This record gives sequence, C-alpha cells and structure tokens, in this order.
Amino acid sequence: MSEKFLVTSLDVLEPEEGADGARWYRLRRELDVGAFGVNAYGADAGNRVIERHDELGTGAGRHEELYLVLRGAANFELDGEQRKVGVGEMVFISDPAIRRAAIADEDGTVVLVVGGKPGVPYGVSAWEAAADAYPLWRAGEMDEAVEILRAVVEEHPQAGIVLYNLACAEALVGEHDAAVEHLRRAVEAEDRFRELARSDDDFGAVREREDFRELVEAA
Amino acid sequence: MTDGYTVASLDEIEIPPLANTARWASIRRHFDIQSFGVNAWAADEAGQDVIGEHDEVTGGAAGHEELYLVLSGRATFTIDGEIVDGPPGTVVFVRDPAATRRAVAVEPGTRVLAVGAKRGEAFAPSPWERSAPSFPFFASGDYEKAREVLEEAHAEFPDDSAVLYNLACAESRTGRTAEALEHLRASADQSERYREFARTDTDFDPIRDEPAFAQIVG
Repeated sequence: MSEKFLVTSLDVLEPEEGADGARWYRLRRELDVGAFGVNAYGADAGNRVIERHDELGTGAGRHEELYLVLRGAANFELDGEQRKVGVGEMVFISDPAIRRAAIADEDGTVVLVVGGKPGVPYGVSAWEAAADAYPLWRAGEMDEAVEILRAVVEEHPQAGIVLYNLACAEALVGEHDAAVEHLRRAVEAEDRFRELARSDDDFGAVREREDFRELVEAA
Repeated sequence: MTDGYTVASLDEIEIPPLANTARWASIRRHFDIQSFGVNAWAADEAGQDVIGEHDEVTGGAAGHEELYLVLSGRATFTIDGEIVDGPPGTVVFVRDPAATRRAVAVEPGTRVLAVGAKRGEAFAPSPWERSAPSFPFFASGDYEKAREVLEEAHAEFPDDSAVLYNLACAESRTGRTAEALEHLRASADQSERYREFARTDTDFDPIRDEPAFAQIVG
C-alpha cells in the first residue's frame, strides 16, 4: 500500500467500545484524516448507537454534524423530537446546542458521523483524543491512561470532561493533590462536574479531604 | 422539523444526471454544510464511472484530502494506477491531493459517498460546485434556465473558468452565438482543458461551424 492512500472497511476495522457500549469504528484515527472528523458507530436493536450529547461542552468541538445511516435503522432524538432514520437517510445538525442521541432500531445498525467547525481548520476534539486512554483504564493500565489524559489536558486546558476523568484516574492511582486540582479545573470549566463528583466512586480516596469537600459542596 | 437540524434522504436530493454520468446527491449544498465537502454519486449500470477520474490539485479542485465510502453495489477504485476492490463498507482515504483517482461501478446500483476538505485550512466550498446549480437544467434540456443560473454564478465569480465554459455551453444552446464564443474563449485562455473539451462537446454543435469557434479550439 502506498502512502498516498489507505483502505479499510467497516467489516474489517475492529471497533472499540464507545459510549453506552456502542461499537465505535474509529475511522478518523485509523486513516489519520486531518481535515474533518469521521467515525461510525454500530449497535443492535434497542441499544444506544449515538451517545446523548450536544456540541457545546468544553471537550466537544462545536462541530456541525452529518449523520448518515449506513445499515439498519436508528431512532434519533433531536432536542426531544423523535425521528426514525433508515438506510440512505441523513440528519444534518448545524446548531451545536441541539441535544442529539440515537437508539438502534435493528440489529447491525451502523451510523456514519462526519463533523467539523465552520470557519476554522479542523483539529481533533479533546473528547476524541482522550478516548485513547479509556481502553487502558478498563484494562487496569492506569499509569498509561493518566499519561494520555495529561497530554490531552496540556493541549486542551479547558476541556472539562478530560480534566474530570484525569482527576478520577489520579485519585485512583494515589495522586491525590493532582486529582483535587484537576477536579477544581473541571468544575471551573463546567459546573456540572461538581455534582457528578459527589457520588463518583472514583473519588473514594479523596472524599474525606477538606479541599475536596469544599469543592463539591460549594454552591 | 425545527431550525438547527434537517433530515433528508440521498434519493430525494439527487439531481437528474447528465448523459452517461452518475446520479449526484449534492449533500453539502443541500444542507449548506460549511465545514467539509460531501457528495454521493450513484451509477445505474455496471461499467459506468461512479467517481470520475480527477485529482485534487488541477482544474477547480481545492487540494482536499478525500474519503470515499462504498454505500451499495461494488466499485473498483484506481488510485495512481493501483487497483482497489470496493464492496459495500469499503473506505478509501486518499490523503495525497495529487493522486489521480477514479471509481467504476462493478454492479448496477453502486453508490459511493465522498467527503473532503483541506488539512490545516478552514473549509471553503470547492470552485467546481459553483456551476452545479445549472446541471439539472442541462439534464432536463432547460438551457435558458441553465444560462440564467450560470449568469448569476459568473457575476459572482467572473474569473471562474468552469463557470465561463458552462455558461458558453448554455449560450450556444440558446442561440447566443457571440456571447458563447466570448465566454468559451475566456475559459479556454485560462485552462487548456476547456479547449479540448469544446472540440467534442455537443453543446457547441450550434456554433461549431463559426470561424471563430474553429479558431478557439484550434
């Protein structure tokens, strides 16, 4: 294979575990696409194929997104409106504030997603870069996961979800000062992390620290 | 339907094809996508081009890296002479804008999605799309309407050689000989390939015997 082009297939590419257990075909990373975001997600009937999200979060890219159903069918929810989308049908979401999610309506459903932000060159979103850490985390290789998340935070210092997950990982590996500091930065980025941290078992080791309590209890 | 999102199917946004060309769903234009280019092409017959031979550096191309995904049927890709078999689900990513690429349908009903943008730059629609609104009118033989649409594109992009060429085609078809010759000349002066296209393009049959036409195409 020359370096001018790369070939893969949805039937060959090994999916990773995505959010809510969806099969995540990481096309952008596999092919090193540098000009737009592109991924495919698969799920069987009744399971979530597209995670509920908007594009406003500090880890999101404020992308406009095009969804194309490649196989099966999916029930989309778009700001509360339901819409069944079949093969060859597309949903284009220009407004990053719209809450979007989809449940597979048939076994073997696959949805392609293409995204980018108007007016700026494409850059990999913080959430996507951070995703490399989670398989390591699940496999118990926490030090490697922490290392990846720290590198992402270096590049995306305001990405709340990445700061939060780094704080969790640091709490688990015994780096308690760093954990509280990164949780503080996560809460500064997005206040919702204050409440999440209150009941997150990952913070068990720092729960009794005064600075942690002040942080999660502050109004 | 609310503002902020739109739903459509590939079938409903396809425009009627020109003779011997693949059916085209101009997805980017339909949704007014501003951050990447995206189109789907469908060939009804085996042996038909589903992605016409091109590269991303010459003739109105924007230096895009391009990702192709085979949606249905089966296509054979040729990229700088290398052959790739493409059953449904195949993804071909052409990173090098200079690589020549083409895909031919192996089965009837072959449809390929193409996504493209330029690495490191904010997206802008490709110049080749500027003529696109006229294509359905050429296909249906409504050359007067095609001419009107291209006049508008020409007013906005006076130096676009593809718009000039297509405008000349529509003018030739609608009996505007002087304008057709003027715009064909301007287009051929900018790009040799239009001189070559004009030699065999039946849109110019009405003006082919004009001495000025022979002079332009050489």
